[in-house]
Amino acid sequence: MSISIISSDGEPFKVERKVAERSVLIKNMLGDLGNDDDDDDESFEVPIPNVRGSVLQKILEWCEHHKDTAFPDDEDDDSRKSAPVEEWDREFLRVDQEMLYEIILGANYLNIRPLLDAGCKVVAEMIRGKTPEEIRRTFNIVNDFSPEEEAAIKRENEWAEDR
Amino acid sequence: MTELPKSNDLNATWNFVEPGLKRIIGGSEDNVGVTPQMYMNVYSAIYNYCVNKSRSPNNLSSNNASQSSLLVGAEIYERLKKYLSVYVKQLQRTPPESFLEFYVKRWTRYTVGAGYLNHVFDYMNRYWVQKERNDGRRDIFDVNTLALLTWRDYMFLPHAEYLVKEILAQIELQRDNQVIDTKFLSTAIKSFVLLGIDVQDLKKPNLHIYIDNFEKPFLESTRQFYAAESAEYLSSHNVVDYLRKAEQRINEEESRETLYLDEHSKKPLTDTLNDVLIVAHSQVMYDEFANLLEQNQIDHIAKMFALFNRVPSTLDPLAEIFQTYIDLKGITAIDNLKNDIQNEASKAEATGGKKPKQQVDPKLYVKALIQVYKKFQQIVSTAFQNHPIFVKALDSACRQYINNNSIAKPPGFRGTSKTSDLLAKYSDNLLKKNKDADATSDMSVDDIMVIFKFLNDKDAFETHYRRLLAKRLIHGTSSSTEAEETVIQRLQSENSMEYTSKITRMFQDVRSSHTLRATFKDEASKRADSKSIVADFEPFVLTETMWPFSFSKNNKFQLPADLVPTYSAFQDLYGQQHSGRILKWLWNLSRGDIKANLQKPGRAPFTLSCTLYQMAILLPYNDSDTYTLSELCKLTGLDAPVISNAIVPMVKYRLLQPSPGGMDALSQLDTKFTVVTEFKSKKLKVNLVQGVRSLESKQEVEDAEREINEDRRYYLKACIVRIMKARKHLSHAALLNEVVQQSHQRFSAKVADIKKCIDELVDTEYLQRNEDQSYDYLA
Amino acid sequence: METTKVIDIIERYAASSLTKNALNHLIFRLIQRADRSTLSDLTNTISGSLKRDFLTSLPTEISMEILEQLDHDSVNNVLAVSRSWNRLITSEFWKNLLIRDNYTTKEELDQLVQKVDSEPSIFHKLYTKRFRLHRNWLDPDFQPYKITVPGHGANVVTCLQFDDERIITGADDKMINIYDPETGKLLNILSGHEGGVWALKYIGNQIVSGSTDRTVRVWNIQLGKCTHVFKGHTSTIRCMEIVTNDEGEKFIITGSRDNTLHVWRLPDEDDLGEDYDETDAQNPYFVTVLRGHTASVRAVTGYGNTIISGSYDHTVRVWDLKTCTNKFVLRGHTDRIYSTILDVERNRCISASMDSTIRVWDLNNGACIAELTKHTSLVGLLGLSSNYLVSAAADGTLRGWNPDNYESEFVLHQDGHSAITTFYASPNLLVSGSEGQFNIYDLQNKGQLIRSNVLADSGPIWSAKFNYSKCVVAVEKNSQSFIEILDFSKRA
Repeated sequence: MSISIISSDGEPFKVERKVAERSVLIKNMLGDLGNDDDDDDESFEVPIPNVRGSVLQKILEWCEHHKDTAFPDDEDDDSRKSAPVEEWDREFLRVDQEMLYEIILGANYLNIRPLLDAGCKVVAEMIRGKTPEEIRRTFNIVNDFSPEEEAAIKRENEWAEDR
Repeated sequence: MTELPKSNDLNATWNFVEPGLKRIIGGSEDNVGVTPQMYMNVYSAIYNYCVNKSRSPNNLSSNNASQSSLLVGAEIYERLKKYLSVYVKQLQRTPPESFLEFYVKRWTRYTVGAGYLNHVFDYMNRYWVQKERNDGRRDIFDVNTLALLTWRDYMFLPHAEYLVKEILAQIELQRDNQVIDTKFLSTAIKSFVLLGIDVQDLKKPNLHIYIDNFEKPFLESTRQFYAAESAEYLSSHNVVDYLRKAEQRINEEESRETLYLDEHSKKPLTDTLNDVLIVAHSQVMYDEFANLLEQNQIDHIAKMFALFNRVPSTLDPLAEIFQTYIDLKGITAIDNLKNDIQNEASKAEATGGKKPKQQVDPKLYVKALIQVYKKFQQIVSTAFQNHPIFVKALDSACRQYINNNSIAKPPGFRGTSKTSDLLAKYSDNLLKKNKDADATSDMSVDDIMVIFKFLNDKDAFETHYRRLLAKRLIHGTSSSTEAEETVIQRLQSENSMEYTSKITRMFQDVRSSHTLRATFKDEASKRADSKSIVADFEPFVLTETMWPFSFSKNNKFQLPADLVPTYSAFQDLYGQQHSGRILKWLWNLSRGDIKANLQKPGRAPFTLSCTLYQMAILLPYNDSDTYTLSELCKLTGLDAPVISNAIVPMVKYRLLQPSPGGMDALSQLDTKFTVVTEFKSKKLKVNLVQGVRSLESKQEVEDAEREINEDRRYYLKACIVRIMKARKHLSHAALLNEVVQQSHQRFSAKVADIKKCIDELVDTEYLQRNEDQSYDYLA
Repeated sequence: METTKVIDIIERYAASSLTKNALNHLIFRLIQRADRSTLSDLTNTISGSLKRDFLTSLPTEISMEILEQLDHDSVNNVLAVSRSWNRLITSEFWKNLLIRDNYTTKEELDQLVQKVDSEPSIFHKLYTKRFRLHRNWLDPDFQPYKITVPGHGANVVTCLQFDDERIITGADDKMINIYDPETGKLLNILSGHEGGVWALKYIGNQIVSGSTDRTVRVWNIQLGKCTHVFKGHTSTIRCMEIVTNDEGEKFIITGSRDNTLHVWRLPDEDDLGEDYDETDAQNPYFVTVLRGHTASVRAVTGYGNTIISGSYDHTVRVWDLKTCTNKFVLRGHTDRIYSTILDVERNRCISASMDSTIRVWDLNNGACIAELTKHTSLVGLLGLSSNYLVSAAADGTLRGWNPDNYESEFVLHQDGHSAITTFYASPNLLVSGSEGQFNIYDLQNKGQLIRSNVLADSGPIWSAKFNYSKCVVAVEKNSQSFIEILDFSKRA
């Protein structure tokens, strides 16, 4: 059975119910409002007011690829947080930062935990191992510290860095 | 699609969301369901609001160390809370529906709506609620729980009593066999369970609301209902009918339980039912039980057992009644048997003839005991399903009546119970060679074992059995060695190897004697005086302590000259084989065959089977025809009474002629005995052995009794020493207990006997008695 | 008109008069007219503008998730990036990191939370300190500062326990020694036992010890003297546990070679006893004797109202402290039990036996849930941390098992295969000692061996314990016992 998902800019996407249900939000809604014995869910339209077409497309692509993957329990924080990013996911998220940002927001909105985790880890990797200046360059951030503030922070860090 | 409200505007967000809430929770008048559009709009509005505020610069600049202010949700949460409480408060029953109907309908709709709400507010649940709860704010809940709590506080608690009353009324209707809507009830009751929320641990199911508000009143009303019903029923019906009714009611209630009560109530309900239907009326049923036994109503007994079995503690009085009954039946059966014997005796006396001894036929006795046992054993297995309490009752009762009845312990009798003796005799009858096969066809080793199990004085049985076995072995009257060995094996497995040790040795002796016989025959042929040695001499060499025979040193018996060579030869042979051992010859038990050439010439001689004493008496008649009793005494070295007894059968068969005649003359010293040369007999083989009156029987019994007592004393002393050696120091009471326990397998020791043994041990300085009635072991 | 002016007009018109869609459409059309090199330049411009200040623009809850993926150094870098980034790293955040990396315990956190208002950077400082310490532990080239002090002469050191204020050891020489962990100075020797000390635990200011002289003694550390002597056992006291029940009362549970366990109330700290010397019947602290075992009680452990005892009679018994009765007899082992531990979280207990197996029992019903048979010799020691159940055997192997489903996670071998005499584990680290070998393993990395050279000159290693900064080991060198204090916060 398939359902129709409509992006915020009116673009419809037809997907298998199973794929769509990777999003807990959609899963809950289908469970609450949908008829289980209706094979004819094509008429079922799920509007997604917060995600625009191209982002939704990417997200649905991820869902399609992972429609059968078994992910650890939502409750199992430890294994979720320590598991490394799958190679396919990493490649999938090799996009410009704007898209990455919107994917993360979309995954958060649609409640797709594994995609959200992957996105967060990818961003963390972009931060890890870089000096503050390098980080600013990566994300196009303006250094708004006053010189005194910067010095204070440096002092604190020195104490921490002391080997 | 409709415009979502500005994400930083609380009021706009709320106003946008509220109509959706109305529809979800069931407050709209129209019957339009929730559309995906509406669902997503509400979700998105909440999401936007939560996400936006969390990034507000206002919050980031605050100095608050706690991060909960960085996440947002409090205002929305408060509004939602208020909304729900308002909604619930205004729910009203619309007549003519009953309160129960109203409650269930509304509850069903509400819980569904709450589920939707929970999903729609998911973002707030996921982050803000979690955070608050982790920080310790236990009064913030996920939306579903919030909804339930609101229902609980504003709908449930104010009306709980009324609701419960209606539910109980429904249940009572059903008990009166009216049809009710069980699904309604089930939902209503389930709501109690779901409303029991533990605010500390939301995941733990909590039944306190269910238990306090529903279960307690339910159990109470159930109790009252059945207390009344059962009392009324019993007053107008008999016990057997009541058994049926109780069973039926219990089944009904238990199926009701599965239909709509919670698992938790299962046990309390069962307990209440048991209490009110069974325990409360147990006495009435106990009273009826004896009648049922009398009428052998196994089915009814089974029903009664099934009921009582639900409350194990009620089985004890039942078992007691059972035990007493069995004991009584056993005692009565034996009393009847005894009466029969007495009647027979009086009848026999009345119809002339001398008064026969009132001997108890072992077979009848054993059979009587077993019959009672078997009857009740069947009841235990069919009606009581071999429940241990009743098996125990049966065993105790059997132990009681088998050891203590009017035959085993006649009034005034102080010896060990006669059952051991009678059982030994029964075994003897079974194992002896018997011409009359019918007599033994209904006897079996199983019977022996059944009674043996219950014997208190097992050692007495062993002694008696051994005595009779010895005779069988010596005189070759066993019907089959396999049968003998089967019995021994079963005794061994029932009791212990040690128990049958003496008997086992006896068999060994017989076997080695057999081998010895062959060896002797061989050796004897090599000797110089081989011709004067009896060829088929059958020696029985018996280990002295194992066999129940006593060697009397005072026996001045003279072995007849004809037999001396054999005697010497055997002594030599045995002395060679086992130097250092002394052979004590039991002349009184020896037997043999003598050829008597008293026939008309040309015909085969008679063969007389006789005891050695009889042989000694007869052999002199080779030299002379007549001897007086006193002469015979001198020749044989035997005492007059012994000779008289031995002579009786010879006189009876008219082999010897006494003069003067008459029974009294037989014991006179100067009575002459003449051999009858024209001895006539229908058979060639004449058995003189059987007629020998055994002086011994009474003596034997006394000996056996004494032996048993001595053995027991010895055993107790050994037991006491063993215990004290291990424990070093023990109180009087503890020592008594231990001894009783340890000796239980063999016999039931009397406290007085144990005390005497202890005293003797103290005197012989094995033990030391202390002032506080305890004992020390003296090495 | 100048080109620039034309461009200006067009741009302004497009921006003001066209709808968004039309504008985008125009832009796309214009791009299609660009040549390859221009497109290439465009990419850079575009991707540059597409950069996002993630942490500031994402919802806070997501930013936190990203930050919590970072290691210590990266977090410090984040602090220096910009004001908004700096503000994201709150005290709460450092607290979460402490929990994430197992650098603290629940008890310690509860205490620190009280102080956070007056010292806002308390968590940050603690995290940094612990991080540095752990880095030292993990560095095979880092030589910790070592203090070696004499132990108990030529006697075996049987018990060892320490904290920031004191090291307490018990030995076969009948004495209990108290040392200063910073300097190694011998602060006090507690004498009084008439036999070797084989069981010892301390809590607060009190030490409880059990000996071959069959008595239990309670000592006040501050006063340095014995305050209570409990008699009752009729043979050596071999193991002991101090248990706090659900009502907060403390009990001493002793297991002995006389097959019984005795339960005593722990006297209050200020109860000076006046040199009690009580036998069972009159002792006001005596609670009960737990009977049932038919051979020596070798191991005892407890929590709340539950006590577990392991015995040479091959069984483990579960006792309820409230009713002082035997709840279960756990049968299954075919040889002596050497060690037992309680898994409170999962309501299970675990026993290790001379029959080379480890059994896991469900405390709800006494059933044996799992039997771990991978060891091939006597399993003498057990330990449980949040991520592993660890067992040590006489053949020199250490095994790590998944604490939920008991799958074998790793196997570690000591060189020489001599029996492991002691081990101690935290969620991050594992140390083990055997004849002449002291190893440190990284438990966050499947038990990877970090180093084994830190006590290279010792003989047998009797006991080892560690906390975040120090490791205290009781060893034997040249037939004499010593206490080695390794301080990982200072270099040698």
